Amino acid sequence: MSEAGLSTAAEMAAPPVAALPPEPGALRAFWRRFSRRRGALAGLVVVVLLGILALGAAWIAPFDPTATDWGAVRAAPTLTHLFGTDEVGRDVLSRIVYGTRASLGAGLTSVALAVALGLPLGMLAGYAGGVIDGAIMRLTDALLAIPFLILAIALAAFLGPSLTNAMVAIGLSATSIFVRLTRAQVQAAAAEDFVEAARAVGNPPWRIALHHILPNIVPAILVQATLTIAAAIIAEASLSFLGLGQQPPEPSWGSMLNTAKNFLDQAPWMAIWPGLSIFLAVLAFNLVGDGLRDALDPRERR
Amino acid sequence: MTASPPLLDVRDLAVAFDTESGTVRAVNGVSYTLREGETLGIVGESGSGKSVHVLAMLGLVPRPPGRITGGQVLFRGRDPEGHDQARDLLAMPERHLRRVRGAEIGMVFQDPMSSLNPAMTVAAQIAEPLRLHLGLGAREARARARDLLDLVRIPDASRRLDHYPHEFSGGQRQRVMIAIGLACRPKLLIADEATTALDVTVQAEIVALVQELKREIGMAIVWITHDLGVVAGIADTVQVMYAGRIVERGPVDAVFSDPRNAYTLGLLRSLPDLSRDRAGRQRLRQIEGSPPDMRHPPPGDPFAPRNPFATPRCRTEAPPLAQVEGSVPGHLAAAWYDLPALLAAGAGR
Amino acid sequence: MRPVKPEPLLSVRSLSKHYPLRHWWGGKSSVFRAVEGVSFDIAPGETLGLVGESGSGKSTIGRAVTMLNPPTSGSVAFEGVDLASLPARAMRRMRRRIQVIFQDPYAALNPRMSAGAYVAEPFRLHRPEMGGAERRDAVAGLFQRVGLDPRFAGRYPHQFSGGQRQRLCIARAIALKPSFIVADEPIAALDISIQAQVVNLLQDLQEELGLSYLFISHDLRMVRYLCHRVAVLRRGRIVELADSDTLYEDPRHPYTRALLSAVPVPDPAAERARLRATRESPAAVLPEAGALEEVAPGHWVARTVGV
Repeated sequence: MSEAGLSTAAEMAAPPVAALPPEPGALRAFWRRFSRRRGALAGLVVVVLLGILALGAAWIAPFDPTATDWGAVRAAPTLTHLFGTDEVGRDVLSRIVYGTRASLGAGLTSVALAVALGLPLGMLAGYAGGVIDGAIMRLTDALLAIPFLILAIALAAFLGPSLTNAMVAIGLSATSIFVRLTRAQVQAAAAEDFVEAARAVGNPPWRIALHHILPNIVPAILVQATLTIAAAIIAEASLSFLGLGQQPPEPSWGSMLNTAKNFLDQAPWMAIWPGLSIFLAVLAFNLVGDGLRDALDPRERR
Repeated sequence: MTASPPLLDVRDLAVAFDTESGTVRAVNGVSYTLREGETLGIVGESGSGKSVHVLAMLGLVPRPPGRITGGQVLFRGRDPEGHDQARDLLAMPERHLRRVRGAEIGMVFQDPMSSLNPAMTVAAQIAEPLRLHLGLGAREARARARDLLDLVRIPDASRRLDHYPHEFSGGQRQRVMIAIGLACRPKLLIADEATTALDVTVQAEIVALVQELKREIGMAIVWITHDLGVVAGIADTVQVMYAGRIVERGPVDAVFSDPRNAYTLGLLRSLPDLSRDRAGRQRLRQIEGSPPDMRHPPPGDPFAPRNPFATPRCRTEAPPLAQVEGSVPGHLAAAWYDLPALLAAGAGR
Repeated sequence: MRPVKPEPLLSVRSLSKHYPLRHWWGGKSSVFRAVEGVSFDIAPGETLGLVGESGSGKSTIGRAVTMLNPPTSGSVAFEGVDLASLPARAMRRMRRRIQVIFQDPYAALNPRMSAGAYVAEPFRLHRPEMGGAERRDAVAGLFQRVGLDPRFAGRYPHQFSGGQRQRLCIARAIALKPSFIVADEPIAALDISIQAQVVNLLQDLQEELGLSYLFISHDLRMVRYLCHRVAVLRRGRIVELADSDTLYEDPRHPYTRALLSAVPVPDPAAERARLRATRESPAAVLPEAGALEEVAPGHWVARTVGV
């Protein structure tokens, strides 16, 4: 074929491409879909604010969260102590602000651990199949048979009470969710033509898994991770409430609730603020997760 | 021929879809009529509006994202008192439209597997419109269902009545769909790519079946397809659609032998000739470029950017669909250029 | 007239693909013979058409000769090397020479890989020594070759039309200058106004690169146009194999005749005549296909069995 033919072919086909309107970047398109949802946007604002509280606790909190003031024990909210004080005179606002660290930290760390373990195991199960798949899946089935919170409590009790151990316990308990999800996603993706096309150009299996399957399952994992963070925040609060998480005097919303339950009539603010914080954080992560799900759903794309 | 009022009179129908990335003007002012007993073949590619405009007139376009932005669809069916009367399908309440769809206009779609309910026997599915629209009893409906299976030439009909869709072959499932479509003796049968998913030998059987049924029942047919060959054999009138408009329409012989729109010509010329030796063959005459993005259709004639015969006017002003001079009455084309003259002068190779 | 017969590029012998069938309550298991005893050669620069209806096994053959779904038995010799006995690593290297174009260009492109990365992948896999700039130039050249603007290398599949996507698949397939491409219904999913573009492109590439094609299609018109020789498949067996003029003008097997007579003609008078001639009748019961017999040089027809 001649050079002339070559260039005409390109010219012929080029105009319609050029006629396409400039497409917004993938990120822009995603943001447009996400921000259309008020709930998701509100959730994101709360999550960002919580993040700022956690990172900037030292500057934001008006008092040292562990400093006691025997002159103001179980003091009702005042202008000095906006959220009141607790049974040993610590500023509740400051403890809430510092408690964000325990809650967000536990949520993020434990889910990161769960994803780090669950994703490779799930990919292995889904892509390798056979005996490996059978072994991994029987194990996760067994773990999934135990309720998430009960498993986390049992593991935390076994590892010993500390915030780190609570995170590990929660992370291990959530792992099986990600193994299952990843496996199902990998199996669905592996049946797609583009995976066969990848084999046809000579991709080795590991490269198909990493370059062709993984990018296509990340959205689903991301959505699940966000929703699991919410569950992990509840789990951390529960463990701390039971004394298996954050150890006194370091603040955590869960352990604050635990103390507060003894003073519900005299000092309800001790319970209201940590309870409200947990509620808000969990709601926010769930809203963001739902928003992500909608924004990343391929069916929404044209 | 007496000028009886048309069975179907589509006037300036326009349909749009609201998507995230803009409004897709899928159908832009489509007007045509269909006589009783006429077979109209509608040809076009995906995005031409050939299927969407039919779904829209039957109230089957999901809203949102779909929107009917204008027009009228007058269908001369029976009104609730049983009189023949032309009524606007677009202005009809959904309750009445449902009746029209099942009883007066039969439909056959591309994929017989997903159009049939896998959990219901074939008898129950054929009987459904009979009981719903004609008020037949269970026994009567079943007897009619058997007759209908006979009608569509499914052998051993009384035994097959209680079979489920998966027990039928693809071609037989499409026969069942046709039986359902014809159950209430509609005046109009609409087939949307009804043979596209079928093998060529099965397609031939279905086309022959529809031809025979038409002779027996005399219903009008709208046959939507992208296959020019099927249209050539089955249609009285052919209508070519591109970018949501009718670009050419006329008696099938006139359009095929003397196309006046460049897109019609391009489609006809791009087909390889089955009867030609490899030695004598020429390179396929391809239509360049791609169909337009209907969110941002080009100004003027939407085919102009791909049209080697386009004139400057084509790029600014959309041509109206008008009677072709020097051809049979009813041969309409939308073109600013004079295709036969250009071809005679040696344009377009 | 006929040139000296060159050594075949691809030689398939007694290829079979069976799938075990087990009744759901675990009763007697049997096998489904998707493909049974199929043999054919493809010469360098030749296009062999594989036609048949759904379930005839034509796509299974395409996937078997490329070892994407290896055959149950039989041999596939490519340039004298038996592909079925190659270890996985060697087979992956062999994929430089053997490529596939898939039916559905919407599904065959990784939605999260840019067009440029997709076309560049063969280089990354098989020419790791290539530098980034060199690779980008090569990709731009391929874009141009298949009629796409290289400036769109950064776009993602959903931003291309069906025809453009198939061009991307073709660009990737020819990246390493293979000698053999299996094209599995490459135009079936494309709009009518785009099909001729893709067929012309495939043909130009064949002339330019000396490619051989196994062209799998149910479009009998396009097969006649594009293919040098044609094999007709029915229920996993070849019923007739001949050069395409012979097959279309002198079909011998009743199934080939039935298939050809069912193709609609885009000419109203001729098509109406054809329809009248082929009045709707229950499909004739065709005999099972047996061994192929050479009825004329290069024209093979299956013997009928059990009649």
